Amino acid sequence: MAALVEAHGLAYRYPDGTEALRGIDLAVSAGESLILFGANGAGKSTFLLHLNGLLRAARGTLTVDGLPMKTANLAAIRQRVGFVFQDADDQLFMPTVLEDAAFGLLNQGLEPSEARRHAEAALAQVDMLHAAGRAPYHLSGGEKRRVALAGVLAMQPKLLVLDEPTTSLDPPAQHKLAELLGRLPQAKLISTHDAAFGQATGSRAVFFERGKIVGGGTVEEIVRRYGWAASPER
Amino acid sequence: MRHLESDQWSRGGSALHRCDARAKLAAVLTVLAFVGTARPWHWPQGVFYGSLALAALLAAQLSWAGFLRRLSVVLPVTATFALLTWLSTGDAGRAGALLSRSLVSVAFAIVLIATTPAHALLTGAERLGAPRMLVAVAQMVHRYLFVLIDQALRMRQAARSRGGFRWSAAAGAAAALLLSSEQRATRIHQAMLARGFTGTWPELSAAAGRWNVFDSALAGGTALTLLLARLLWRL
Ligand SMILES: Nc1ncnc2c1ncn2[C@@H]1O[C@H](COP(=O)(O)OP(=O)(O)OP(=O)(O)O)[C@@H](O)[C@H]1O
Ligand SMILES: [Mg+2]
Repeated sequence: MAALVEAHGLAYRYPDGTEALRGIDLAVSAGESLILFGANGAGKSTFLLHLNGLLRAARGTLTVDGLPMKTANLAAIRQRVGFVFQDADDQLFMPTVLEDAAFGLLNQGLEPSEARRHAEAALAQVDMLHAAGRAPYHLSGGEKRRVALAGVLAMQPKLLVLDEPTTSLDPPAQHKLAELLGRLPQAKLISTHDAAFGQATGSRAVFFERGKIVGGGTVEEIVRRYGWAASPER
Repeated sequence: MRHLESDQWSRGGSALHRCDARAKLAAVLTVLAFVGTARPWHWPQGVFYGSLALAALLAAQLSWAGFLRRLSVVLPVTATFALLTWLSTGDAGRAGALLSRSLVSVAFAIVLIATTPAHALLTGAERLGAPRMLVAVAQMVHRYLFVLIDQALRMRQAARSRGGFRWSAAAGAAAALLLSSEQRATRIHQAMLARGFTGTWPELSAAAGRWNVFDSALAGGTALTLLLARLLWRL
């Protein structure tokens, strides 16, 4: 079976000259849940931003669901990749929770009634339907995160990308999120500093170091090999 | 991130709230055109357009406090102009006309804004033929304003927690504010692109964009009433 995500020699340098990625090789298959570990500044976020073309590599190739990353494929790729950003405040910009959950669907050209139905279903999936009429800015951090996830799930992506999803979540909320992610059938790429969260949600892990993947294996192996459980940064 | 209060305000449940933004926009533009061209403007004109504004206000079921607060924002400006007119020409009637004319216009604008969310209003303007580019820019400014306000509040909080906030030091902070807002806006824009944003704000409420009899009645009725009043009584 062809991999859902396939990256070969992906390299990226920020305009200010920072070499953030120096040749990433990675394959993710459907249904897999891959954890990205690595120190601050190792390049995890930079890599994830490539998956829906928000950043475009200068060198290397990337295909998503068989589609090569190029401008003509961007819309199709973004339909397949659901991206949950680190700061939910950046992702929730519509006046109400329901409108935010429907944002992507309407952009896809769905009829408003259809979009509303799917958005409500996605909100129910993350247990936030009760807040449909509220302003996203008044929600708690954990609730915002779930609404952001709903806005992505509503679009029924094949791949979920989550950049440090446990940021600003208390332990019960982290637990709830891990459970929710476990129930979702999509392939997942999750960057996290939280070893326990990674173990709860991942089937496999890779370790980033200065723009490269330096190791891969089961989540337990990676956590042990790189001493990540005792990691001071959280 | 907090939305401007007016955005919350514009989500009431009155019949006017449910009207198509284009109908409301057309009606208000018509009123403004008639108010602007009413010559002479004496007390009958003031009473006529004033009661129309009152009717619109009642139909919109707005809170008086909210309405007056918004009106009071423009009152000092128009009052100053009226006062200057009075002092320089000695014509109290003309000053009064200036004041009542602008207050009536502002009242209608407030009702329009208060019954129509900003993005619906802008989409309506676009459908009525406003240049697409202009509308897109206005929408961005409207969104960006929240980012700016929110970022300013965060920074003030951060400054306070580190030993107080002084507006005198705020000038230096303004540059930092613009920079951090710009970064934040970039991230928001990325998040929008990630969910397929194509440059037009999508509209969820099915009522928007579906022009019904009520909308025709509002837009047409307003124009007809004003035209008749003008022809029959020179209002
Ligand atoms: N917009 C940017 N402009 C310039 N350099 C950047 C930018 N964003 C990130 N970098 C740099 O690129 C490198 C990789 O950053 P990235 O955010 O991908 O790391 P990360 O692994 O996600 O780290 P963290 O765990 O702290 O989130 C870092 O050296 C960082 O300073
Ligand atoms: Mg990161």
